[in-house]
Parts: sequence; structure tokens; C-alpha cells
Amino acid sequence: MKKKLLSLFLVGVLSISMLAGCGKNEGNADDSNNMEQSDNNENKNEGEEEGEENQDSGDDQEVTYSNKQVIIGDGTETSGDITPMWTNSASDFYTYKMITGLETVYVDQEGKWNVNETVVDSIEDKDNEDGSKTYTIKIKDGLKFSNGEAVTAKNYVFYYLFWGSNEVLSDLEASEAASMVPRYAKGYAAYSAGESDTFEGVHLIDDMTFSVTIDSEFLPYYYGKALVSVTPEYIQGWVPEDVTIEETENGAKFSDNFTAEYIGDKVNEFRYHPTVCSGPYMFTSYDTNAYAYTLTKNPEFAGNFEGQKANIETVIYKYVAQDTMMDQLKTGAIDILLMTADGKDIEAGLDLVDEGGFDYINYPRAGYGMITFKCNQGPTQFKEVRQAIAYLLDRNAFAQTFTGGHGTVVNGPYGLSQWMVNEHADEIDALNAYTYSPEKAVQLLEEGGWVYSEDGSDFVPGNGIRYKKLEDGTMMPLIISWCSSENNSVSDLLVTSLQQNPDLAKAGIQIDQKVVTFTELNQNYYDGSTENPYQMFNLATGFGNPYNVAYMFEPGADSNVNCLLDPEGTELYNLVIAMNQTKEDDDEAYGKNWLKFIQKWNELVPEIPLYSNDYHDFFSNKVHDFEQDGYNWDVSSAILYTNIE
Amino acid sequence: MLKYVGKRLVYMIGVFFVVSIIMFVLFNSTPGDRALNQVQNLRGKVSDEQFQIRYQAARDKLGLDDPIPVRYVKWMGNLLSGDLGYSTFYKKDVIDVIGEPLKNTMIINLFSTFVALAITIPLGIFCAVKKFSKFDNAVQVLTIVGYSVPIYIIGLILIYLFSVQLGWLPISGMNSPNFQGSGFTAFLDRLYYLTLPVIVMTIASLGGMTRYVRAAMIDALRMDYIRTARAKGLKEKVVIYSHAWRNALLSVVTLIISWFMSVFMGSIIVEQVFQLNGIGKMYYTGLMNQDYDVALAIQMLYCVITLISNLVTDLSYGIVDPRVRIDK
Repeated sequence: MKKKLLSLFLVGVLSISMLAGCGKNEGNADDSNNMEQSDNNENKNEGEEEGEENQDSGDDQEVTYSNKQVIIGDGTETSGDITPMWTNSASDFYTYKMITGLETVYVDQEGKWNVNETVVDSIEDKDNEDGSKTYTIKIKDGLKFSNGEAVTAKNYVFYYLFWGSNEVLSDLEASEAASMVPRYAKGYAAYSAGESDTFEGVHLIDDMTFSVTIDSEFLPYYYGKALVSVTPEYIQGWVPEDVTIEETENGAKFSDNFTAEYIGDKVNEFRYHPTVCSGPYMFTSYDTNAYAYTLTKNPEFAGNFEGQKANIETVIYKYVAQDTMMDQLKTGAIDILLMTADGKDIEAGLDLVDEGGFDYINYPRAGYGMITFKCNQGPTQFKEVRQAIAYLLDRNAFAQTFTGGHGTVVNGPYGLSQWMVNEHADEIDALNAYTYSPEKAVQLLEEGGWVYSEDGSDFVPGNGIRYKKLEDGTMMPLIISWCSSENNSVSDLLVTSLQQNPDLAKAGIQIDQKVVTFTELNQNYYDGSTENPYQMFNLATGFGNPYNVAYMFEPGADSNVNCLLDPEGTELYNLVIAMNQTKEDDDEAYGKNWLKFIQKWNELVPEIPLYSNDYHDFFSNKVHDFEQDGYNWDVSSAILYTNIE
Repeated sequence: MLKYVGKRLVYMIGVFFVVSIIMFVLFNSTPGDRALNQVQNLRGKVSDEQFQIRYQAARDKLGLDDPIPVRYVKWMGNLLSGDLGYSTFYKKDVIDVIGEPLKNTMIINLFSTFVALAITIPLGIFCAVKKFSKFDNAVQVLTIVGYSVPIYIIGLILIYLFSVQLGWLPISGMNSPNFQGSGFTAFLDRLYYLTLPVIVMTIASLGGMTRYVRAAMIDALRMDYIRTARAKGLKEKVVIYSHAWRNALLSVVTLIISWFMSVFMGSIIVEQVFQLNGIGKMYYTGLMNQDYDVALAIQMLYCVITLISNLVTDLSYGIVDPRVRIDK
């Protein structure tokens, strides 16, 4: 209150001081940085209070945890659309994960998928004659939503029926994120297209048991269990009470009143205000003006796979602008600042740590910024050209400059948090790093037949661009059209470090840049035709868990943006398929198959990874036990174990 | 007067349609496929056939296969009936997207406009009366500095001073996250958060207005009727406020009116620095994400405000200056 009155006073003082021409403000300064937050936890009973007061007796001194509230700052703007089935902000998604739990299959700190024994009583799988596989899952008694209502098999079946329905996907315009789970189940295509009102692969067996049949199209699959990782949905939140689930021999279905018109209002309300939750936290509110979600501890949560429940009573997850994020941490406006990637911000954060009162963790990004090529046309259809460009770019210097020294370079489509990388560290180290070497670039070009000048005479280094004589006798110039998006600092750095690199010109390569809007870049990036005017793009990519990149290399598919020509394209795709189809739980075989794919990719260089950030999370010293890797174990998992003084 | 207003309204409607056509054509001529942008995330997740179906559905919904005149007529028809369109970025009706930011922008701008006027008018008058005094010279220098320094820099400096060093005010936002109070405490909380952005916006507008008022007052104080008033033995206060200021007001009033009309217009930079959920930030987000229905709706709002502002300003001449008759 004192602070608020001070602000009134300040406005008044400002006016008066300007009038008087001597704007000296002598108002009372309060040393505390934050206005007192109202505490809505004061009324909790003593038992709860005792349960929350933990003590850390490790290290030097004993610390008492109040665990009342933590404020997490994220540089990605929150939107309030917490259900990530329509819009797709990373910060919304982390918050959504905090209020969603009781999943049948979980991913552990190592990135492995396992059955969640807190939730699942039994799980049986059966291979079917048509190549599909049926998982019959019985959930445990006593699981509850945050409002105390029981969780039953119906809530899991609802997930499939609801998010896979034509009504939600088409009429209510949910994004494809909604169908991430249902689409693997048999009969999804017909059900989601509205051609069938039953979902063939989903059955409600009894109150606590349901089955899901995974379509043969997706099998065998190393991450098979991940395909039946599903969370319960609170049915009354999404649809009116008279919308029911019916079991038929052709699969589960909704009652006939399940129409977009009938459910639309409820869906649009619950999408933004999912007040009944299954996760460790409950959605309390979203403040559009503070860009902040407020979540409170779910007293009914049964725990994660280890039985761990949240320690901290209230989590506020808010957006912080990059310009002021470090100031917000310093002044206590936030307790934790997530995923700082910019070199200058990281340096400022490390300065804070040096000054005392703050700490940090860092972890590698599961992805990278890259140059990507169209490999079905122009000079970049030839492997040696792509390799030569890789040799003509000093990627270590690039990564150092771009990330301010807080990044690294990878040599294949992997992230350093993946367990496969750790298991095969030696082989990964042995990958071709394409260390800067104009000589090797020239050698490769000459071996690839890029030895002519425009008039057909021998190419003289430093004198124009190289040409290659194609099979039909025509001469192809070594000119690459590069499409980059506007206001892109990576593109700017690529201009100086690659396009205008004198060694590139000496090698006889010319790169022409065209700057376009991001939408236009996307359009061309996904244009797999040989008429695409561009052969080179710069973008960024990330990897998920399960690690499935088959769609990126499927011959002829729209999603195959590199469009590698045969036989290399098919060869690489077959390696991905072999990797995906490794027997479940055979980690050793999977690791070997993964490595074969990575090695082949490294040789073909359909992309050149430029930098992979080293993310930093900064937090105040009153935050304890906060550990995440941003990939297998993100903030939504880490927050359960976190304590705050 | 009514005839004049009627004429101006007809003119305004004409301008509105011309502007709307230009804006619509410009927005729709920008490179890039909005439908593709909308369904891009489906790639690799659905079959190519399903992707094409979704893509075509998005094109149909956005009307991208219609010729531009047809699209314009549809859009304008919807606009006139109160349907501002659909935000492809927020996946909500535009009317639901821009309501809250517009309200926030108005609150911030009203605060800063009142504070700025409360400071600049007396300050301008005082400087004019004490022309070329040390105080006046100091204010002239300060106003030039304030006028010249980018608002972004002023914002960061004040954040550093009041928030980081002194810890008096919050760095960003419009209210405390998870604030539980209501009524007066909520008002105080809002005020606590808005103080710094309001100060920044006020400082940014001090320079221009102060100098404008000062110049108008200096002109007015040079007039013969001021000499006459003083010769009559009127008190200096009466001379300044009743005679000089009322005449100086004629030229200042247009500026004041345009200030009040601009309360609907957001400051992209201030809203960005202080994380304010305002209309300027919304407009920027709309443009950056090719969310054209949002951007166009805001653009047309600005157009309407500008037209009304011009009309009100012209009408106000006749009200504050009896010599001006607006009847043609």
C-alpha cells in the first residue's frame, strides 16, 4: 500500500517539480524492491502448512523453505490460450504441462519412455494380424481431478475422441497439435475426417480400462509406448453434460449431440480457463495485462511417476521482455528467468551471479540454427557443392560470434541432451566437422567436375565462377540463390562470414541473397519442385522426444524439404526407418541405427548446422533444487522438485 | 453549421473508403501465402492429401481464391456490420482480441495526457512571461533534450533509476500478477504499475507542447490589446490568464484536441518496453505475423479517429474563436 501511495505521490511531485523548475524528488524511498503480493494462502490449515515447510540440511547451513510462491519469467510471450491445441506459444505450453498430468506413459530425465506406475494398474499389448498393436490399459483407482472428481477410463477415451474429432479439428479450428496423440490410433483418418462417427482404434472396456490400437502404419516403432502416452481430460469442462461416450464394437463414439455448434461455447470457455486440472498445479487465472498465469497447487494430484507432488503453493509464470528481463530478476520481480539465449543477456546474468544472490544452470539447446539446401536442383543437388560450402564457412567462429560465446556447433541432426549422443560420444566426435578449409572445398569441387569457365575452358582460380558440364552437355554455373528472412541477425552474419568471404569467390562460388518476409521464405522452403528459385535457406530447427525425423526424408512427401535425390535420398530414408523400427527397449540397437543415420547425414550435408545455443536459466539464491535440461526434463517437470525460501 | 458538418461527414466517408481500399489492397498485395502460413505446422504430421485439404480449406476461409474487389466488398460488408474479422494468430474474433488492449491504451494515454497538460500549459505560460530568464533558458534546453532523446532511451533510463536503483516502481506490466484486491486497492495497484510508463510518455510529450504554449503566449503577449489591458491598470494575473492565455489558446486548442483524440492510438515503443498490453503492441504483433484482419481493423480505427479528430478540431475553431464562422 505504501508503495502505491508513493506512486501517487510521485506523479504529484513530478507535476509540482516541473512547475517549480527544480525537479528534485525527496519522496520516501523504501529499500524493498517489490510491492507486497497479496497472499491467498494464509487460510490454509496447519496440516498443509506443516507439510509444505521443508528443510534442506545439506551443505553448510540449514535452509527453511516457505514454498509459498515462485515467479517464473519467460522471454516468450504468453497469450492466455493455455490449451496448446490452437495457438502454440512455448510459454503457454510449459504452463499447460504444469496443469496436466496423470499421463499413462512418461518420459524420464534420460529421455526414456516408461509406463507411469502412479497411474497405470496394468498395461497389456497384443500384436494383431494386420500389423497393428493393441494396448489395453487399466488405470488405478483413486486418481482424481483437482475438483475431487474421480478420473476414469472415460476421461482418457475422451481425449482420443475429442481431440481427434472433425468437429474440433475442422469446425472449431484446432491446430494439428490437438491430434498429436489420436492420429496414431487405428481409424483416425476416417474419424477425424468425419467419415466415421466411431473411432475404430479406441475402446472403452470398463470404468477403469480402455484400449488403443496403434495403426500398423506407425509400427514397429522404437518409441512405441510413447504412442499411448495420454492424459485424462475433464469431460464436463469441454462438453455439456448430456454429451456422452458410447462404446460400440466398431470403437468408441460420442453421442449424436456432439456437434461443433452445441459444444462450441464450452470449448471456447474451457480452452482459456481450464479450471479443473489433472496435473500438479491448477489453473487459477490468466492476467492479460501482466501476461501472467497464476497456478496453484493441486491438492488432489497423485504425484508424477515417482509420486512427487509440487512443493511450491503458487506458481506465477509470466512473460518478460528481453530489454528488461535481467532487471526484473535483479529487482525480484521474478525468481527464475528461463532459457536465456542471447550472449549479452547471459553475460549480464553471469555478472549478477558474480555479484552474489543469484545462481544459474545451463544446458544445450535441442536444435540449431542452420543453412538448409534444396538437393534436387541447381548446384546444391551435388553433394560436393554442399560439402564445399560447409568447408568455406568457419562455423566455430560463427557460433562464437552469434551466441556471444555461449553456444556450440553440432555436426548432425541431434541435440546434446539426447542420450544417444552421450552413449556414442566417441563416434560423434569422429564425425566430419568440416573444419574451415578453402583447399578442401576447391578439391571437392574439382572432383565433382566443377572445373570449367563459362566459355568451356579450364577454370582459373580467382577468375569468375566455376561451371560444370551436365550429362546433357549444358553448362551449369556455380551460382546459388539464397533465400533469407528480413530482420534476421543470422542472415546478416552469414553475409559477412560466407557470402562475402573472399575464399568463396576464389573457390569460384557465387551466392545471391534475396531477403523476403518469413511467410514467403516458408512458402519457398516447402516448395519441393525443381522450379523453386532458391537452393539455400537459413532457418532454425528443434528436435522433440520421441526423436522421429522420418517425415523429413520421406521420398516425395511435402515435408521432405531437402528433397535429396536418389539413390542418396532413399538410402537416408531407409536408415531413418531402420532406426525408427528398432525393437522397443533395445537401446543398443537403436543407438547403432541412430548413429548410422547421423553419419550418413553428416556425409550428405543436406543442412549445415551453424550454432546450437547454450541456454542459461538464472534464478535467485532463494530458489533451490531447480534443475532442467530443456529437452527431456523441462521446467514443467523440474518445478515439482523445486523449493523456495 | 449543420450544413458544414454534413458536408464534412460526406467527405469523411469518401476518404474512409479511399483509405480502406488502399489499405486493403496494400495488405493483400504483400508477398506470402497466408493460408499456407496457417497450415504450415501440419507438414509431416498429416498425409500430403490431408494437408492439401486443410490448405484449401484455409484458402476458402480467407477467400484467397476470390479476386481482390470481391474480397474487399466482403471485408467491408463485414466491417460495416461490426464483424472485424478473425485473427489467424490468436485464433479468435478480432473484436475479442483488440478490446482489452484498446481499453488499456486509452487508460495510459488519458493519464499521460492529463499529466502532460497539467505540466506543459502552466510551464509554457510561465516561460513566456519570464521570457529569456535563466529559468526559461533552462526549460528551453531541457525541452529540446527531452524532445530529441528517443522515448525508448528515456524509458530504459527511468527504469534503471526508479526500478533498478531506487526500487520504487515496478519495471513492467500493468498490475501485480495474481493481485487479489479490488476497488481502491486495485486502482492503486494499477497506478503503481502505470506511473513509470505515464512519466515516460509525459516526458516525451513535454518538450513539444511546452514550446508550443510558450510560443503562442509570447505572440499573444506582444499584441496591442495586452498593452491596452496593462495600461488600464489590470492586474498582471488578469492580463496573462484572461487576455493573453485566452487568445493564445486558439492555436493551442487544436493541439490539445488532437492529443485527446490520440488516446486511442498506442505507443508501440512504450508498450513494448513496459510490456503493456496496448493497441500499439497489438498492431505491431498483427503486422509481424501477417494477422491482417487485426492490423487492418486497427488501421481503420486509426483512420476513423484521425478523420473525427480533424472535424472536431475544425469545429472547435468556431467555438473558441468567435471571429471564425464555420458555415460553408
